[in-house]
Amino acid sequence: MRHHFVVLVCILLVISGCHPKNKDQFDRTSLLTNLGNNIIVPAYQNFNATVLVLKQKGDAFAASPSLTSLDSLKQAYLASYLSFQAVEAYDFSASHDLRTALNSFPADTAQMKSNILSGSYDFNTVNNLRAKGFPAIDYLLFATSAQEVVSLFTTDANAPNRKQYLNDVMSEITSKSNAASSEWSSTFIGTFIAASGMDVGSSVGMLVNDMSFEMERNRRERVGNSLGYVGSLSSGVLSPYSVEAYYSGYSKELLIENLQQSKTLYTGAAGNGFDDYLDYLNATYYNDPLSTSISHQFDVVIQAAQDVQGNFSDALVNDKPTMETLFLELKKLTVMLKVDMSSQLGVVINYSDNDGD
Amino acid sequence: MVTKRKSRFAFLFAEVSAAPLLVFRFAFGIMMFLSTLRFILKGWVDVLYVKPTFFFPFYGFEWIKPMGAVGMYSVFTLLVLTAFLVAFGWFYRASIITFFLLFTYVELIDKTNYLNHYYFISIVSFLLCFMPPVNRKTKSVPRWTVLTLQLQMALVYFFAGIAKINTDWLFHALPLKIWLPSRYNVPILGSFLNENWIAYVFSWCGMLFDTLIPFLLFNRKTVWYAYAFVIIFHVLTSILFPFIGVFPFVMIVCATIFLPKEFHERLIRKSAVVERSETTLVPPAPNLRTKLILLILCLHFIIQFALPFRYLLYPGKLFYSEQGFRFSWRVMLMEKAGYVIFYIKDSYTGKIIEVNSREFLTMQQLKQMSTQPDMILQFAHYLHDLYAPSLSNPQVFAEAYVTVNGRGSRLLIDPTVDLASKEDGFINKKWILTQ
Repeated sequence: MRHHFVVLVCILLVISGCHPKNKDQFDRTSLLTNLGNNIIVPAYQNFNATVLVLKQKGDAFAASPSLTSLDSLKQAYLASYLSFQAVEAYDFSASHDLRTALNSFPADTAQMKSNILSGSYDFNTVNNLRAKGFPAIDYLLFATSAQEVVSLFTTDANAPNRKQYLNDVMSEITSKSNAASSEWSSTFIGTFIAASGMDVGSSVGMLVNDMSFEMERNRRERVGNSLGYVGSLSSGVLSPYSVEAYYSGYSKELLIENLQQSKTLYTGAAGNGFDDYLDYLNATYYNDPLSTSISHQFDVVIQAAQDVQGNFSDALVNDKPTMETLFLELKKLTVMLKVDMSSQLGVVINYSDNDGD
Repeated sequence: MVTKRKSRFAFLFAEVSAAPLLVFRFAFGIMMFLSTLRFILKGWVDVLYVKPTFFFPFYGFEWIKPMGAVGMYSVFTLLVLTAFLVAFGWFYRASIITFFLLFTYVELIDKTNYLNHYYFISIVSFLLCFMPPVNRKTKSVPRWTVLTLQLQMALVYFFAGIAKINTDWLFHALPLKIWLPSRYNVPILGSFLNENWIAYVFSWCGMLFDTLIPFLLFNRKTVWYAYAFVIIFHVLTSILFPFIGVFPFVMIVCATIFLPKEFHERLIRKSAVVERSETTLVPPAPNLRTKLILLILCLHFIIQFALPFRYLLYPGKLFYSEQGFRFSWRVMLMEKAGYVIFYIKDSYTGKIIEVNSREFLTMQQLKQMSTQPDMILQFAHYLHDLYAPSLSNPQVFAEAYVTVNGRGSRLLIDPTVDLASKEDGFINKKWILTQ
């Protein structure tokens, strides 16, 4: 018995001695290091920087509301909202859910009106989820003509309350962005890279899970809701107001940015990305490499979004077929990420840590 | 003729050492004590049996319902307690019957949590219900007792082995080809796991191990070698697939039932505080009660032999349809993932709405349901009943995509079939595509 065991160990040692010709050994740590250091943390820092500008422009506008100060605030809003798409796409750090906190749309205008009127509100309650964050700024700055917005912040009876409200909304964005950004740069990046295993709660598993979740959100909330395809039973009709950034009309730009950021995460830009990982695993999709199939589908979806004439709420009425195409292509991409990629990576995407079989 | 029959009975009733049974029962009880305790401490009772609002019962067991937080925690507390009692043989019969019934009750609540190994535990505890209440003083037991447990163990391995005799496993080394490369950081073996040949070696060795190990375990000459293989095999799977949890160790411990009695007797002697007096139990005669027990066990094994083959009654690809998949020891046999979207259609207005399944199911339930047609059907009926009051005759459709063993995702079931109009049952589900 003991004899045989010794022989077995020897054989294993000998085999392990002669390393197989290192055919581009893949390393999840290098994947996570690249994605964390070169993509995710910079995205948070970039977002944080744009939020800083947003707050400055917001303060300037509040100090002296004019068409000029409104215009530069609007520009800061767009820049910040665009950079937010990058952090929303991989938003799973320990304590922050920026996706829900800062970008639950469509905006709840009735709630915001009553908040401004009363001047008392608590952003931590569920009621105010859609009365804050970017959808709130979108409503406050774009719901009416620029001239009217300026007067709403100057001569209107509720102007002081409205200024306060805008300020509170931007303060929340600033504090959440600060907290998330500094947590990622200081401690969480280390945790993220260290969790390079394949088990429950591993960073690769979390990323894959989050990428598919985000793509499902793109399909359902950024496109499907407005088509009346998803949601409560009272819908089933076109609802142009339910798109992201309805008042400013940036729905298309935001989705395209979101998709491009997701693709960057997938490819890892210049470094190791999921596509390299899939290639290392020899993953195929029908007769093609899965990596290129997914890459291609990203391009198809981005193109489908670009093909939409004008913003999504206009296109619903004037150009519904291209919106439907976009919806279908997003579904294909979701399936590829959620089903094919997660399956072939061999990652355990268990939601509760449990015994397996 | 008569003598032959008599000798066959004599074989079953021959006196054998009670030590293997005693050790098995003790080890099983302790393992169950620890794992049910762990189940509670990890918060799984809450996550799996209290929090969900919808459950997927097994066909024919729809009347099995969870009992709320107080009820479920009571059930698990009783499981911990009875497992402990079983280990030491206190109130043996009452304890093991309670354990068996409660454990099986828990497993029947929700298909989501089905694991072959939970099924195994249910079966072993069922079999233990018929075992004599041995203690340290019991010298001998009739052979059928030990043999029953050995046969059950053997069946698990054997059927797990023949399940692996399929083209994907043997000729494409799937799913190991998908699973192994990502384990590159395992010591020593890691650097080979991306090599194609190692997936083939593991596949073939796994198949041969499972199918042959029962015979080697039954043979007195090879039993120790076989047991060494058992340890190597399960430790290896545990290293490569850490998420399978405690089960490799359950199998390693349970397989001791095959070891020669000297092993068990030495274990018992070592743990003895005082030298025990050798009391001889009256050899149990084959009375009416034991005959009845044997009849039940006989039926049990006939069913056990038949169940893994029931898939042959269904057309189509087993790995997709999963008709006859469960209760067949198909362990870690395929890599499967899915995504399902449900649609509700109002028959009167023709309006179609996509449902957000996340509102009703836990992530674990969603994950399990997305690859299993019978669960998709159950949820479709739930949705129908949910929307029936507010819609006129709602129809429910499911667009389900699955991938099996890395083959490109495809539609699992016919998305044009109104699932609300289809009943669950043992007859072939024609609406499953890939047939």
